[in-house]
Amino acid sequence: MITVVAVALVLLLASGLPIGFAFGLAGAIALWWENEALLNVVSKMMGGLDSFVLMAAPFYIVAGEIMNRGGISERLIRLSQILIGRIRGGTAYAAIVSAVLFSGISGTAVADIAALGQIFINGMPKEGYKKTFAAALVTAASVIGPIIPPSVIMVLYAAVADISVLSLFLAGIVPGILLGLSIALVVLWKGRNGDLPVSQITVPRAEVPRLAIDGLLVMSLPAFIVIGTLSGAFTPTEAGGVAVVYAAFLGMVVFRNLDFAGLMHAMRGAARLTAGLFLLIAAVEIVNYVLIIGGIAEGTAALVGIFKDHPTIFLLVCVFALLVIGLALDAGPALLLLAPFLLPMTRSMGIDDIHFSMVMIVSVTLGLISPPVGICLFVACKIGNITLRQLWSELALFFYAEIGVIMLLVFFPVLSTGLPRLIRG
Amino acid sequence: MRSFHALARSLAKVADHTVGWILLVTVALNVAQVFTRYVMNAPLFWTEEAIRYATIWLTFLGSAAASQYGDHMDMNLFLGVRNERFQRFHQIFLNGLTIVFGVLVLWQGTRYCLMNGMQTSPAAGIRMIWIYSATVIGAALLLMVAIHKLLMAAWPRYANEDAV
Repeated sequence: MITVVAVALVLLLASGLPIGFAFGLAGAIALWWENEALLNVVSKMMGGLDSFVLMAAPFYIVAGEIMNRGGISERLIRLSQILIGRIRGGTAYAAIVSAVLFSGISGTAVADIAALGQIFINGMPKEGYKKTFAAALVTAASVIGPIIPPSVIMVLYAAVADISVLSLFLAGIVPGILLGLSIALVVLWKGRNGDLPVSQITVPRAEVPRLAIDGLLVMSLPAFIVIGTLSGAFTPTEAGGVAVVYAAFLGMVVFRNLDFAGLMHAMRGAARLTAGLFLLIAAVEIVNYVLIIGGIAEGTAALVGIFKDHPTIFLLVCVFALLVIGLALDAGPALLLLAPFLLPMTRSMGIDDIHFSMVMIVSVTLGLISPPVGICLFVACKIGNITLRQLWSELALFFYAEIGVIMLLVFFPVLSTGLPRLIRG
Repeated sequence: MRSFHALARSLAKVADHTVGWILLVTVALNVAQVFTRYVMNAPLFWTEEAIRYATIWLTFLGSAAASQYGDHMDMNLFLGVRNERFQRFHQIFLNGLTIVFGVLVLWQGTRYCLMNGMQTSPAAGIRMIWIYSATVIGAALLLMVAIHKLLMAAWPRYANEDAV
């Protein structure tokens, strides 16, 4: 039964069918093959969707989208440029700081690269940077988006794996900053011969207070989400809803770059994107059920037997598997499918849930920028009008540095678990 | 034929606008939940349930809209194939599979509604048929969209006629 569902899933996914439909059909085929009730298709989907946490995902998507439409990306970028100042490679570092700041309001890597790519990939060459370098830099930085909270993948992961979104959010902050630092190190290395241009941006003194206030208004959103949920004032879902209202208020009243039609346009776009994600979450439940009645427990027990004395090796195997899957496709769905089975295994090996989850989420996210297939790669190539080969020639070093961050996360659990433990006890 | 295409397109548009509004209303419910808890000290008891059920409607109606506007995530390995006949055949194949999925959800969703629709929800006490029917209506819309797209790929002539 497990073989049937696995073969069906791989064939359907490879055919190019939308991922949610592919999971649903593969599960149904396996149920039909074994004469199990097809009613499970609908009842398991209903079970998968019955979660209050899930609704946080569209809230974060729409809040980010509204912020972007409301002219907020430009303000964040100006703010980063002031922070960095006129040093050699200044704009490159400003791009990294922008990505870190922007990831505080966006929940996905694609949103990051779409917003920052337009400005940096086409703007940096005017200062004398190579376009391929600019594109590689922004692509590498886009993976910070889903690691620093809020994060859509963390919401989905928390819903299927039944662990705390809040702990995951907190756990992402340090790895996200580490990713930013690793990118900055590569910039430093690439510019070691002093051939990176000095930032040409000049901000008139009179503008600085205004920009600082705007920046504070924008950055108060992630602060609000984190502090509001930490203090127990809101659930993450409620914080997301309030964030949408706050973003709409900023866009419509304070910055006046957004009207009601624009707001509804953002709502519809976010709703369609969410529907696809939720259909996947629902359909994953069907395949999960098939795996359970197909006896996956025996397989996991055997694996635990092999690796029980070598938890770190097991982690490395999982990372490697996700990175390999991530080469050809988006490994996110694979993680969402397998997390409910992997977590009990890693628990019995003595690996902390948050440690394991963080390593897995960062690995999956790197799949978005690993060639030949990765959504962020495609967006960057399209914006910069360059080929994948040109992009990769500059991106490779950034990518390996980020792999280095994953290794740090594997070997030093405290990097993931430290902050949640410190704050939540 | 033409009127079918027009109908499929306008229904997808209705679904699209509906999910936009569902999301807006959910945001409002969410804020109402926070507001009544902190400001009025009398939290609404039904908002959390309503938000959970809105998730279900959003998913099934939104899937049809996402299908129409090409917003579903996929892993299409064949995008680079420049043969137009192949791309048309591929579209027919994918929409055929989508139709199979739509029929399955329509059929089993109807059964599910008939079996469990008369139960009532724990907090607000509404009949569950109002929630479960999202599967049936969403699947019906998805079928319309998929049949429309399949026909467009099979007979592009109709697509051109429509554009006039």
